[in-house]
Amino acid sequence: MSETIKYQVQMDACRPGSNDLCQDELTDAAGRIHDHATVAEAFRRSQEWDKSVGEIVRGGQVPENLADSILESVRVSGRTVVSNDIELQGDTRREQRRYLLWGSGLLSLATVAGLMIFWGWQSATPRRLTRGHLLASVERWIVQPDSEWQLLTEQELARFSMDAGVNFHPDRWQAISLGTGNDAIVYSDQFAQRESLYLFVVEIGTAEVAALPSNPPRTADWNSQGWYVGVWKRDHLVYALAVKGSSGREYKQLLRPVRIG
Amino acid sequence: MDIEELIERHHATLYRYAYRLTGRVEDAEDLTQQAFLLAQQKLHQIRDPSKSRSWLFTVLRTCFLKNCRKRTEIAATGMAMEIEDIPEHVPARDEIDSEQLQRAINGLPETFRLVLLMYYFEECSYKEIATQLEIEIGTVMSRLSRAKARLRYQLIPHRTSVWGTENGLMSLSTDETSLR
Repeated sequence: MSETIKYQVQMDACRPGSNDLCQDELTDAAGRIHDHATVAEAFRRSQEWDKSVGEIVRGGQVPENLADSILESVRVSGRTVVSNDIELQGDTRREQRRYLLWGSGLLSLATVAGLMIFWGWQSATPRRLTRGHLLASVERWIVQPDSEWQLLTEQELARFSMDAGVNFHPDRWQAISLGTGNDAIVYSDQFAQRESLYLFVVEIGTAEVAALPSNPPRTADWNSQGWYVGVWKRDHLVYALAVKGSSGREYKQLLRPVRIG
Repeated sequence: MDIEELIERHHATLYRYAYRLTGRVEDAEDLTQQAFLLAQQKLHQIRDPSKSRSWLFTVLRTCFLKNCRKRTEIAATGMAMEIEDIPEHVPARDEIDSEQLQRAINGLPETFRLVLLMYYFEECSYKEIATQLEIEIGTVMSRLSRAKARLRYQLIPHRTSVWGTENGLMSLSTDETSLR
């Protein structure tokens, strides 16, 4: 690295308004700035520029109802954890237990009431279905699959049609709830694939759907249990193909090549 | 501290960061949501509530990197403006086109974009970036400098010069802004 490039790289590492130039790694740049007025001036201009860019980057509009939408998906995932440790002191422990008991009771009542209002509001409002939400719902279902399968009929296939991009021939299905208010079913193949392959099909209805690919993605998301899940949208349906495997190869084997033109 | 409080407090900042990383509103919404879902699972990791913001940034970056598939290197030469080439008039904040800035950020490979945004958005030092991403300080400095040089080239109006003859430098008066 040439001397010029070296001190320019070092100057670029300094944050505007900081004392980064005092760091050991940046001594070349510090010396150059100290000795040359033109370099010092160029450094001042670059810091001014960085300050402006930083301010713009940290700003920007945020979509309305974003917090509500995130809160909804977090609630649906149903794993809210409270990490505050409660330290109870010896003398007041019994008293505090009593308060906690009463508090828990009241909180439960309030939660039930809140949930009733929440679900009532949910059923009346079109919601936004996102990839993250769908992945969380699919993962939750896979962890605890329901064994209430039904035989496949043509009516069900007509409404929740299979996607031509997937080479999968299910023989059973069941209606499932993803907590979004959308009708959804999951297909399975009882004999060929056993419990390692599911295709989820969600009817969009009035819900908004975040941008999703229009074909099954070649690379799937995966979780620590070895499930590979690809999500895509075609017409009025959203699909999620979940395949258990060691490398994603099993998932890719189920995808048909995409025709172009 | 519970997840709802975290969402209430930090969703806007996290979304802005996600938007800068992904460059698309829909992707940013998805990434923000994905980050909070992961945060919900890992909430026990928060020991000091005052550091929850930077912890969420880490979670967001993890989700972003997991979603990234392409790893392309940035070209070493051309399309860059070094510090000493910055003209006397540096565009002020209101003279910088925010959308053009985002397009320039989108044009960077993910690894460079991440380092650049940790510097501009999180205001991390080069040492903090190296520690968080578990890469060498020299790599951080190099990526940061090249990404910034590319950004300056695309956003600061300048005159380009071209090596023309064996006799030396032949300067062409090409004002980048007039080419648009």
